[in-house]
Amino acid sequence: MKHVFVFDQDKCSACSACMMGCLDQNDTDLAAGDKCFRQTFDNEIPLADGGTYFAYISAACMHCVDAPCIPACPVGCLYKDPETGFTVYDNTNCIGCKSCAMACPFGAPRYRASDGKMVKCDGCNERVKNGLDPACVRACSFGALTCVTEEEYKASGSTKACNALIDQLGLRKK
Amino acid sequence: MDLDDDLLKAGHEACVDWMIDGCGLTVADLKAHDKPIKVPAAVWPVQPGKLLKDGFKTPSGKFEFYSNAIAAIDPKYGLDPLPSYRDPLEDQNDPETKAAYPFYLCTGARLPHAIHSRTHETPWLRSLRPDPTIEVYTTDAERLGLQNGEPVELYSPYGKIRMKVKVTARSQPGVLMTLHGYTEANVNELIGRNHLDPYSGYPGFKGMRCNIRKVQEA
Repeated sequence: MKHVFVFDQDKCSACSACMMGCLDQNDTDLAAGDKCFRQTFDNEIPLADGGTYFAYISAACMHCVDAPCIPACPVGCLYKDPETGFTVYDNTNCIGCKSCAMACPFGAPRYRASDGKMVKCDGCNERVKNGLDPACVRACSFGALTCVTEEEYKASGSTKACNALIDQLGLRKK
Repeated sequence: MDLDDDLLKAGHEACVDWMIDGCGLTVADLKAHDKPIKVPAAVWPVQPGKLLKDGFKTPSGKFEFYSNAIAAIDPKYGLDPLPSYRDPLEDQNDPETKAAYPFYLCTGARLPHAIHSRTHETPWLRSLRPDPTIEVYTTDAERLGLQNGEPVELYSPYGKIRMKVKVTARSQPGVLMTLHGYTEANVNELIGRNHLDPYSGYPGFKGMRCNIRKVQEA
């Protein structure tokens, strides 16, 4: 069953609980220079009328439908999990060339200096396959970040799938 | 310290008894047991309305908007029995202090991952905001030429600390907003020891006059 990350900006306060869930799930070693796969942003955008728009965002890998990182990898580390639809990887053969990171419009794949390999958000693939929520979704107190099946997403009429941002930004190849 | 207070003179245990009064136990009861004991007054379900029935701990026994306890205090101390507004900066509003320290330092801000001084040393939590940060209102930052992430010094007549700037529209012009609990940037060092609540004597840790200036990176 294919899964979709849905992000409702109206419910996010950039509290970063999702990041704590992610750091915990992936045992991210900050002291070694590694970074959390998920990042939050509390940007303040000045408006023409003198007001301010507060943009609270939580972002990780968008799990694009036609993920540009997959063809960018010269050794075939990245692929789509046919069951969940997440962009997953096996970095055994990774040569650390960073081509995936350059192909990604969001900077989701990260070069891990400690072992010279690429790592990225895999949507907590194993958790989802076993009927659990991704760690970030589980940590979100406000329901801003959810993960639903493709069928549930279509039935909800929502336009807030994370990878819908790709269409909004016009990043998809024509 | 030989303070003029009967309860304080009665000693530590008498003070603790006063604090836990109403739970049905005294320090002597707790000392008589070597294991935890149940609190007799903790009866579930709680019956609300006890104070309305038995009266409040006030001279009138009522919920007092006009405080008889404060009315009994010598008027020379200038305390109002009614809850009237008083400027929290009234002890530092003389023209010289106002000119030298034009900002109001608000230390009442909170971050969801920082609990007082406790969680600042937890690496994952600390990574969310690694540096002690002072939030400066957009127009103030523009006027002073302060950018996001720039090192600054906050100073008051009592001390100085270093923080990094975050420009925000979330506060008010003239307000510098930060949180307490950083070991290397302890906001309480900026607050004078005589900046006290005139009613309770409690230290006014949440607000102070201060000023901000750019510094070279240490």
